[in-house]
Formats: sequence, C-alpha cells, structure tokens
Amino acid sequence: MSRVVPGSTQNGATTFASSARAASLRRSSRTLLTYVILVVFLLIALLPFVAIILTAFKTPLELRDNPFSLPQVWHFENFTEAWEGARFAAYFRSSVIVVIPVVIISMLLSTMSGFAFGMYRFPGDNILLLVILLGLMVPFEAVIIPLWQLMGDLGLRNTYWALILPQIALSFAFGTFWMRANFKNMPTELIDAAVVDGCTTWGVLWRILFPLSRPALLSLVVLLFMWTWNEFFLILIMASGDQRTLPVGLALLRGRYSANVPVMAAGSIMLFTPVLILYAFFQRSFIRGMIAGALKG
Amino acid sequence: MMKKQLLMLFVVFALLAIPLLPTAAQDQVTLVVWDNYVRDAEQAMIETLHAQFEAAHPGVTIQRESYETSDLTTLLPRALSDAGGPDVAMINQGVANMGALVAANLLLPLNDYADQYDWWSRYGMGLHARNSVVADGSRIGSGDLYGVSNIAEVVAIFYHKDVFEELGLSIPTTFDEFEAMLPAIKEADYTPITFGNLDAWPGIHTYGAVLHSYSTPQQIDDVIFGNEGATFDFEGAHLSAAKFKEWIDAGYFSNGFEGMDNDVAAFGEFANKESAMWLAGSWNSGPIIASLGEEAVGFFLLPSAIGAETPYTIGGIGLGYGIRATSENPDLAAEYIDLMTSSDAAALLFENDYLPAVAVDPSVLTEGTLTADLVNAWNTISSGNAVGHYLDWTLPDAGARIQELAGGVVTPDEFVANMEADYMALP
Amino acid sequence: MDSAFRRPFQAYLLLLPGLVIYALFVLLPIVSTVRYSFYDWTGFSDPTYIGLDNYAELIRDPDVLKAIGNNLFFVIFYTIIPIVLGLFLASVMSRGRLKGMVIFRTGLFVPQVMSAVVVGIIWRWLFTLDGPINTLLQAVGIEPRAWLGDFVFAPYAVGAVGTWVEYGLCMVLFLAGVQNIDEELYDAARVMGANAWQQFRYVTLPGLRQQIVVAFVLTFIAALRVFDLVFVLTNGGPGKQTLVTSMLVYEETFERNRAGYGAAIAVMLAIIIVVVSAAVFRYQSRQDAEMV
Repeated sequence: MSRVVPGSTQNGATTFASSARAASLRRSSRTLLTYVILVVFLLIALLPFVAIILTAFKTPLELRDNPFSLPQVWHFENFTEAWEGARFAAYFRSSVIVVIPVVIISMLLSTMSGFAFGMYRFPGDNILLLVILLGLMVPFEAVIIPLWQLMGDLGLRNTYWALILPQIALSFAFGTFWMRANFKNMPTELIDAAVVDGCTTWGVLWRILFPLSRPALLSLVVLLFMWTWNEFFLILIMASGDQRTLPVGLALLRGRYSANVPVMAAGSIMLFTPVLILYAFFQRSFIRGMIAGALKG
Repeated sequence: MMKKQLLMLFVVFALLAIPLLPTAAQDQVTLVVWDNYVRDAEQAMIETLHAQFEAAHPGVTIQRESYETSDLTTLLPRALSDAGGPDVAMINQGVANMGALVAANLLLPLNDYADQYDWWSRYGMGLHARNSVVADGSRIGSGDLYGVSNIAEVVAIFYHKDVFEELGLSIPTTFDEFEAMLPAIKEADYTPITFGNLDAWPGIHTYGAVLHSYSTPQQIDDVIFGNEGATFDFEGAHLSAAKFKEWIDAGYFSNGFEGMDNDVAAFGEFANKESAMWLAGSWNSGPIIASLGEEAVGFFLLPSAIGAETPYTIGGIGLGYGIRATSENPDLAAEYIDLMTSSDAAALLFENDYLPAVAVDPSVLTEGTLTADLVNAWNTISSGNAVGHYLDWTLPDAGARIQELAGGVVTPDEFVANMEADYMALP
Repeated sequence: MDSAFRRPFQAYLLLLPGLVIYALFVLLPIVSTVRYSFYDWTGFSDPTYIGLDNYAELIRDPDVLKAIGNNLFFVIFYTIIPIVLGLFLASVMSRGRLKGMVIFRTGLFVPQVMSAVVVGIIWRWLFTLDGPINTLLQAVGIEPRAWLGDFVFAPYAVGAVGTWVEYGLCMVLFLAGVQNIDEELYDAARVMGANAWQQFRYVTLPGLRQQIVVAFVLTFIAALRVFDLVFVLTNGGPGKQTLVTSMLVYEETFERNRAGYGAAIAVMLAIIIVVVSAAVFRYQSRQDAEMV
C-alpha cells in the first residue's frame, strides 16, 4: 500500500493546532452519530425477529393487533404444539443427524484439499480447482433429479446418507475455496524455518499450519453449519417422513397451520435458535477467520 | 482462548444431540399412504379410519405422509418410481399430473378393482372420467381409471348470513341480482368479495368462477379435454375477463388482494367478518365452521350470466386415490381405497364438515347449516351436469395470466389472446 | 514454494477423498444434467434424444429472457447495495473503540443466518396491506400498497428482502478486512488532513479490494441462483414480475415435467455464472500482479 492521500494537506498543521476542546466535542458527536446509525440498522435487522418471537406466544386472534404489542397471556403451548403436534421433535433430530457429519467430514476434507491447493503446485491444479468451484455455480434445482436417481442406483435412497453425502460434496466445494485461501496466506518464512529445522510435512501441518488456521476453520464451521442447517430444496426432494429436517418441516406446516401463524412462529424460532447461538458464541473468531478465507480468493 | 472455543463448539454439538432418541421398530406389512389431508381438523378423521383398517387387518401398519397438494404433485413422480414409495397416493387430475404418471407407467389401472368393489356406483360416470386417462397419458376424460376420490369440490360463494340480513340482501337468483348487491355491500363498508391472490392460484378460482358463469359446459370441457377445435378465444372468455376487471376496478374485491395470501389473510378477512362473501372452494368449510360455527355462514352458487338453468360452476372430485404400479400389496391398497371412499368414510367426512363425493343421505342434513348448503350445491351441479374445471389443468400459466389481468398490465382482450396463445402452444 | 511441498503425489493423496465424494455426488449429477439437456424427458420416463432442440427453444422463450432480466435486476439488491451498505457499516464500526460492538456485530448479521423459509414468513407478513411496513410508511405520508403483489413494486420489495439478507455477509467480510489494514495508514492520512471520506476512499477501500472481490463473487452467484427467497415470497408473481431463472428451472422440471428443458436452462445459467466469476477473478489476479 503506497498510495498518497492527495489534497487538503496544506492545512494539516492548523487543524492539528485547533483547540482540544472542539476536537473532543467533535469526537463525541461523531461517536453519537455512529451509535445512531448502528442502532437504526440494528433495529431494521432485528425488529422482524422481535415481532416473530412475540407472535409465537400469541393466539391467532391477537395477530390483528400491533405486532410489537405484548401477548395478553404468554402461550407457551404454541411451542409444545410445534414440538409434538407438528413433529418438530423428529425434524430437529433429523437436522442434527444431518448437520453433524456434514460439518465434521466437510471440515476434514476441505482442510486437506485446501492444504493441497494452497501449499503445493502440481500438474492440473488450476483445472481441478475450477472443476470443484463448478459445484458452487450450477443451479441445484436441475441437478437434483439425476442425484435422486443416483441415490436409487447406490441403494441409498430413504437413508440419511442421501441427505448427508451431497451436502458434504457441496460443502467440500466451498470449503476448498475457503481453506485454499487460508493456506495461501500462511507466512512462508515460518514454514521454511521449520523445514530447515528438520520438521516433516506432517509436523509442519500439525505444529505450525493447523494452529494458524483455527480462525479460518472456525468461521468455516459457522458458515457450513448455517448453510447445512438451513438447506431446503435438497431435503424437500430427497427426504420423506421423519427424515425431513426443520426448514422443510416448517415449510410443510403452511397447509396444516395456515390459520395458526403462532405455531409457525414457534417453529421458526426452533429453526433459527441453534444457528444464532453458534454465531453468537463464535462471532469474534468468526470475523477474524473471515480474513483468512477471503484473502487471495 | 481457541481451546475454549473448540470446547464450546463441542458443547453446542453435544446439546444438539440431546433430542436424539432411537426410532421404533418395523412391523410385518407396512402400507405407505400419501395424502393431502394436512389440516389440523382432518387428522382425527383420517386416524379413525386408519384405526378401523388396522383393526380389520392384523399385522398391517399404515404409514401416512401428508403434503400440501402442490408439494404432493412435486414429489409424487419420483416417489412412485421408487420401491419404497407410497402404495396408495392421492393423485392430482390433469394431463400434467395423472396423465404424465400414466405415460410413465407409474400407476396401476383400477378398472378390475372398480368392478370388484363396485366403485363405479360411488358417483356419476362423468366424474369418473376425470380420473381416467388414455394409455399414452396425452388426454384425460377417457381410458382406464387411475383414481377414486372421496371429496367433492364446489367453488362458489360463502356468505355471512347476518351481514346479508343487516343489509337486507337475499341469495341472488340471477347474475344481475348478484352484481347489484356488490355496490350496496361496499357502501356499507364491507368488502363485497374476499380475494387474496398473492399466490396466483386463487385467481384460477375467482376469475374461473366468473368465466364459468359466462360459459357453456361444452366450451370449457373442450379446452380441458383437448377436444377437436377447442379454443379459449370465445365470447364468454372475453366477457368474463372484462367483468372480472370491472369488479376489480370498482373495488368489489379485497383491498390489496394482490398482496394478500389466501390461507391467512383472505381467510382472516372473511372470518373476521370484514367482508360479506368469499368466493372459494367448499373445502374451506372445515376451518370456517371451526371458527364461526355451523349456522353463521351459508353457501350459494354464482348464478349463470348467460341464463343457464343450472349455474355452471368450477368443481369436481378431489384428488383421487391411486395405486403405485410397482406396489407389492396392490390388493391391500385397493381395500384401503375401498374403505376411504366408502359411505362410512363419507359419513365421517360429512360429520367433520367436509363435502363427500359419495351422495349424503338427505336425512342427516340439518336445514340452515353450512354443510347442508354445501351438499345441496353439489347435488345441484352434479345432477345438472354443470360441474366445471380448474383452468390450470391444461394451462399451467393461467395463474400468472390472471394476475396480469387483475393488475391491469393487459386488457381483457389481450388476456384472452395470451391465454389462447398459451393454449395453442401446448404440445 | 518450499521444498517440503513439492511432491505432487502427496497433494493428490490429500485431494483424493474429497474429490471422490465431490465427483460422485456433485460432478456426476451435473454431467447427467448436461446430458439430459439434449433430451426430451419428463424427469421420470424414458428420455428421447432431441439434439439441440431444447437450446433452440430456450433462446426463443420469452420467459427465459424475462427471468434472466430479473436475475440481473436482483444483482443490484443482492450484490451492489449489500456491498455498499457493508462497506459503510464496516467503516462506521471500525472507527475507534466503541462500546457494545459485540451486540452490533452479532445483531447485524442475524438476517444472514436465517432460513429462507423463516425470512419468507416474516416478510410476507411485514409487507401486507395492513402490515407494519405500510403502517410505518403511512406515518410519513406514503400511501399503503400491496408491495409483493404490485406489478411495479414487487421486484423492489423482493430485492429489498435480498439486501436485508445479504448485507450481513458483506459487512462481516469487510469488518475482518478493516482489522487487517495497518492503523499507521490511517494515522498518516489524518496527519495529512484527510477527512473521513478521504480516509475511506484512499485507505479503507484499497485495503478491502480482495474482500470486495470475494463479496462480489459470492453475492453475485447468490443473485443469479436465487430460488428459496422468491419461492417463499412471491412464487415468481405477480404475473412473471419476479420470475427468476432457478424458479423457471424448478417450474419446468417439477411442475410441467419437462426436466430436459429445465436442464438446458440450468446449463445456460451455469455458463453465465462461470463466465462472469472467471472474469472477475482474472481481473483481480491481473490487478494483484500490477500491485506487486
């Protein structure tokens, strides 16, 4: 970065000399402005959720009132109804069965592939990377029928593998893209020094690169968890019965509880809470990890 | 710091795993059934019938999946080609649905079972024709039978009796009388006709009702069954499109109908008595009775605009129960269909405020109830050969086209021209 | 590249397990899709080979043109506005140490973590005629309207929801990038008397170039592949005002049982996405080369 800031250099000294009081006043009014801007955006981001959370405790008749009014009585039974009546317990279970292996296996596979692409040069590397990125670019609505046929040929239809394996493959495409950038940004001096000290490839990987990659890995966990947890279309087509995950279960409620929005709201809360908790826990390292993944994309 | 976070991650996963519980074991014979009975009110009714069936067939378990009709239509083609797919499924009529399934040999012809169980006498042969498809799947209306239905459908007008009373209105006997009511209702600050068209399919019912009112059964039959010389460009189509637009411009439909969904907003408007009438399908009777009772709301047919004795009205039989061609238990599946379409089941459906396809014993009707109105309306159109069709059976773009008409993006004549062009472009 | 990582064999070995799964469950179905695009096929019957007929139909299909046009329109809301908003918020949040940043960072990202199904439920209700948005607008004297069903405004309404969803990702990417910019550059700029805008223009923006490219590609792909959000908000209506290409693929494949034609549309869309993404990455690496 060697650009020079043009213009307004001539009065730099005079600005600097102006009274400290004015400066601190300006600073605090600027801070205030910053807060006002952030609060406005925060409201836009969150008010819909406040409304949906309040809705989950209301009766259908109260819906016509102001959405931000408190429920007359807090109806926790909407949650029981969603959990038991609408089979959300089963869908939740299914979501967990799918998301855990998808995230863990994809992390493993994309760390390995990201390492290969980031640290090695080998014949065909660019072509292979392009082929992998293709998975992120093809609209899935068309691919789903051949995928469905494939699952039949492999005898995996109506098993959780039919939901897990394609999502691992898709996550692998994004994870490779992400981890490759991470490894490309590793300080080469450190690695060179370690190699000179007689460290093996595995030693370098485990003792130097892996610890340095943890932010990128953590942010990848959050992203993959979020996308897998929310996946809708693949599950709609591939899963039936209690294998369906929460988003599909919620969508299928449309008919059943069409006149009972509060139960749907309660279901929505069950759907988004786990992702929200995960993000809230990891937001700091998540953001730190976004650097690693985004550099040299 | 990092270690702590990884630990946290582990804890989150562990917490998520708490609801994991072992699943139930499998039984000897499982009959897989897919239906569209998704509404809350319908669950008990279906479960009663299933309990009967399981009691009569020891060792048989029914495994049921319910989907909204649109999801059912999306998922069935693949499910029916799968060995683990449904043995019995409710099949939507029309060339694009039942026709395509028959063409791909996914459905079992039911003629033999229909003879064995005498399904033919359940309702009129004209209605069985709707569940019949020619061998190559290219046309419906003739050929083998692939479905048996248990629900009848009439798309007509629900109305609030006390609002009519308050405004001094009575059930209209002519189209002009009906039209004359609309400004009177609007003046009294009620929405004359509830209509929520955000999802496009309600327009097929609402505009479709006006279209049928201006058409003869022959004209619409030709379009739907693809008969020789069929055309959408007939006088009634033009007149009905113009009338529909006129009513929209006059504000006779819900304010902001274009952004209103049917199931929550439209239903809510009518149930909250903000409107006097709702042009909708008879299957809405269950939720209406659940929130307003048996006697507050009545049901009448939209009178014919061309002076027909029996008002030509959208309706028919609901999705038909069909059998997967590769089912291992077709006989059991047929027995199941027999039960679900029996007069016992019809009585139960009726008790639960639904309109059964099998004729209801008149002695159980209570004058002045919504269900009695529904049965009378169905008897009128089915005995008068005036049961109409849903346009999207052959014109998949009809919903979007009607939105264009309603939104004023095209004139009524352009609308008819576009529909005709779509129709002519069909394979 | 250092000596330890020169053995291609090791690289292939590392790639193998992921590639096998990827090849089987993504690549193979993609290849089948491309193959089916040359067939007349319902999706569940025997396919008939028809050569390029699907593609010949596609280029004359007004719906395809309309859908691609709508996708490009959504690029404004999915890509351009979120990047601008993300840049704005990231630079606002990175000014000095402010209290409560955790709340803002978490809260502002919330829309991004929501399932489209939930987003659809919420916004359908927010947009209704007597819903909160109209109530708010009425307070400032704007006539209420049925946004999602309005022929003129529905695309903007759907686009606005897209912005609401996507800006969080851009913001987080840029927040990360800003942390990586050398604080001395800002000090230097301040000493030279650069105002807030100039600091942004000459320090922040160049410092975030790589993040902007990544944000652009990710959100651009999202704009061209968008399906869920439109499906739950308007189902492509009113008329075909919000019909997008993926939705058309879905309709042709699942509602009209023309899976071969749907496959052809999908292949066309994929080609557009690949070409644009490749062009952006190439542009970036050329810029990188110039910077060095």
